Amino acid sequence: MNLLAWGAIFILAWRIYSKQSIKPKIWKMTVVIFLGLFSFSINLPYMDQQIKLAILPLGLWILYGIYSRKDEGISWDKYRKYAWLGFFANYIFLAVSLILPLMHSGIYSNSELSTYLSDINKGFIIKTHPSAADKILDRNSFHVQIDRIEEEPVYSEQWYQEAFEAGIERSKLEERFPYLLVGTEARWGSGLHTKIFVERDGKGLLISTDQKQVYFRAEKTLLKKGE
Amino acid sequence: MKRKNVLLLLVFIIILTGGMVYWFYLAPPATFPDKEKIKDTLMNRHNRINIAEIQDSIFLDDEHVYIPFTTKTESHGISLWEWKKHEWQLTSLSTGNMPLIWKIEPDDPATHYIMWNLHPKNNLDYLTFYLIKERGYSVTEGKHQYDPGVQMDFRAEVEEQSYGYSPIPPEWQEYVEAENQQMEAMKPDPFFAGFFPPTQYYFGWQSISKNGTIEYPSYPDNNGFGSGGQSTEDLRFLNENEVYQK
Repeated sequence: MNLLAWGAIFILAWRIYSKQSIKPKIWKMTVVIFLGLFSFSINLPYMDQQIKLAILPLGLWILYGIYSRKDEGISWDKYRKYAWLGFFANYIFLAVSLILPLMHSGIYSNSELSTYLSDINKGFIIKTHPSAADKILDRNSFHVQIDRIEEEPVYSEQWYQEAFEAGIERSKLEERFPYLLVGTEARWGSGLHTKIFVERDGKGLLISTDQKQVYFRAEKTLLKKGE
Repeated sequence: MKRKNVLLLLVFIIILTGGMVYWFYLAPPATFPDKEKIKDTLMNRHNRINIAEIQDSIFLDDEHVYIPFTTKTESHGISLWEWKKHEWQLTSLSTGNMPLIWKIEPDDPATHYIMWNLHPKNNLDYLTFYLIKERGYSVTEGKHQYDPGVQMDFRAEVEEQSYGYSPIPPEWQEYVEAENQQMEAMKPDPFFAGFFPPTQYYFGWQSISKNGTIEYPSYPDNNGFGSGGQSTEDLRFLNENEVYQK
């Protein structure tokens, strides 16, 4: 997606260039655009991510300082537009980062398991807590059910408290999610890195991405007895 | 003429940098120093360790060596050596009764080794090592997050020799890998305050004596010391009630 932004910047630069009567050096022009990008910006939260809002054109000021005194301002005339282009490139990137999550949620639904877990053929589970029984992943059960596994809310507080009600001693506390599913892939192109815990009964999947956590529940267990 | 000189200088600088990069970072390691040299380094004014015996030198790979030793006060210690900047360097030193983990490549759990060296008089039967993450939860701005408790362990027998080591087991590697990848993706914008990283997992251990009880190996004393690099970490001694028991 950033490629798209760079493409737009390139096209704009080329248009300025072809309209100019006194042509600047191309490599200098490139440097000027890059320097122009340099700005003071603030970060704002937007749809599970941070976006940057450029405010002060620092790069532009530096360039003005360098070029304004050269050749009685002719140099500055040559490069001024590129410096501004560099600064406005910040907004091109901003626009991309605003549209991207919308497109992302259009293509990759947040509430579908297949977004987080598309290929389980190499998947297997490891026991991450000793309260787990010796079980292995039932890939057949997965394949049969994958389209019907529904999202449910994450009851974080409740699960946490339940763990303590179950046993008083710390050394007897069982874990609700004692398995980790590894070796799987998220949907191609989603760019997600997931950590997937499996519930004791084998029906629940607690999936953490770098931004949030989702919980899915199947009707039948996804685990079977190990050898 | 002048241009030619500049060019020549440039070529010279490139060759010099290339040579230096090769020399300091790429050149194959020189032969490892002999026992006497190792002893000298450990006993020098800076380290002040009174070596009784260099017990072994264990090559974890070509460039990383684990050397257990004993002191004249009967402490058992661990020293870690690394081929760095064209030199065999002592990167970590410890005489505490505390196993440690060496994360040779922090991002690659396959290179993480647990090592220990405990006085035989402690009468130990075996050691248990743990990877632990506490159970936790959070609700911020309506977003629920539940962190399952993690406890994985493996057992290492204590044999004739006082020292030993083990790479972390494959299951641990899988878990650490998953955890690392996620931390990497979550790396916050340094300018954005208000972010607090999620709690990390840690490593722990227990020693079980020949009579079957969990006991901290206290012989010869607890006053060890260590000076480690960033890539090593002490393991936390865990009491019986601190871990889940089947």
